[in-house]
Amino acid sequence: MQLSLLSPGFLGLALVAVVALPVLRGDARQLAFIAINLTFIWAVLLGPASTLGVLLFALLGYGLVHASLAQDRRAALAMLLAGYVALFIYLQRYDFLQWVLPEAALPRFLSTVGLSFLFFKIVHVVIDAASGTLGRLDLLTYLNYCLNFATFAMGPIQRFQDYRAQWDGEQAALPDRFEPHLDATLRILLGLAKVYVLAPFFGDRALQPDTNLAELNLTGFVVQSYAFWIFLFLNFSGYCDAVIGIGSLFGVRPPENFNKPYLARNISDFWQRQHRSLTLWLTDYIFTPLYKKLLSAPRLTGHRLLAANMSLFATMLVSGLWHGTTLSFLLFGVAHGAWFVVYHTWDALLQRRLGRQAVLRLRRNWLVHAGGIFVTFNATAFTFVFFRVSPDALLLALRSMGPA
Amino acid sequence: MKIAARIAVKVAWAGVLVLLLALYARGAVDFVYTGF
Repeated sequence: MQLSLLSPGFLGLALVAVVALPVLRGDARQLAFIAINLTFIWAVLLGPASTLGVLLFALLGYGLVHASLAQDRRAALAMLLAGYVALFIYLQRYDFLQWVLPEAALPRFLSTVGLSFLFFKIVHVVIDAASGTLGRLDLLTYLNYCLNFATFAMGPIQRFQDYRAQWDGEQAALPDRFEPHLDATLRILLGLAKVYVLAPFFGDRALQPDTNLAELNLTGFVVQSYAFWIFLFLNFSGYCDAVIGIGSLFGVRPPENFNKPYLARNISDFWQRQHRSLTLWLTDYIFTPLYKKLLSAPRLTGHRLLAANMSLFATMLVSGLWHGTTLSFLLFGVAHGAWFVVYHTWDALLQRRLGRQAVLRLRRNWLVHAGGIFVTFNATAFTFVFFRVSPDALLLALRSMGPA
Repeated sequence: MKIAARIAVKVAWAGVLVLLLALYARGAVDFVYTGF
């Protein structure tokens, strides 16, 4: 799937949004935004059939939101939500479906670009509506939140409350001065430069889907893995820079998504710096409820470390499966889950043995700090290889690898 | 004065980025969706 940020379609619509939305008011502003969003999804991204599919998927979510507002239907809501998750898995054509469904029953004509982001946004709205923390909701605001052209394809995952506060003017996307607008424009240009100038430099030197790993020696594998990780970071963070700048100029600034992930000192630090909007989503809707549920289970009461580790592993598994539909992404989730469990257990044991203050002092030591960055950078670079290479090819290559 | 100088630097930086992008746009590099 090719998606161009520099396409005349995307940039033209961004320009229309930046010029028109700040001067329009009320329903005219909502209608103009929905027209921009649907034009983007229809004409630039997905085409008519998939746009209709996306719209129906979002409207079904709206139905779920209203079902969740009925306090006496909690059990029914859980079932409806499970059905919605199943629909998402079906539409995403997860690889394992080919083992349980005949080929003819799998959806073949719908594009799934943006569906995973849309799905997480809708689930957040449904759950928050059920818990009474969503506040007011109307159809047009909901649809524009879901289909916002700036964040539709690759996030960041904005919270509905944050979106609505900015859309309604309760919170300004930018201060009303010249310089912040210049900064937002610079941010767009910098993002585009990352995506189109810097990322390709590393992308050309990175592992390719058709790279024959068996022909690479260890050094080549390591260098190309680093290049792929840097390519991914520049590509994704550049995209986020551009859409944060665009959103800021038309009145709804998406949340920040990166904070120098290559300087992370451990896996926990890494996920607080990398794809932060996803981490926050996973923390709020997977980790925290699961951890609370496990702690309240009679067998796990008092076993906080075990409950936390089980929740961390499950959260990373969901993260892996959200990133992609193949076994490689499942393995990515397993690797990060296992890494989280090892780190969290090590940290807990260290604190138990040395005391919290001693561990804090140890963390401030520059050698420990630098070592943490080195290990984390290498481990993340290696696990992101799953994004590009099939696990079979990886295992085959690891067996045949040796010094040059 | 400080603000004016800061803005001038930012505008110059924007000009450099536009020039860079214009040069690269001639090569028509497409952003490749990587599977997120």
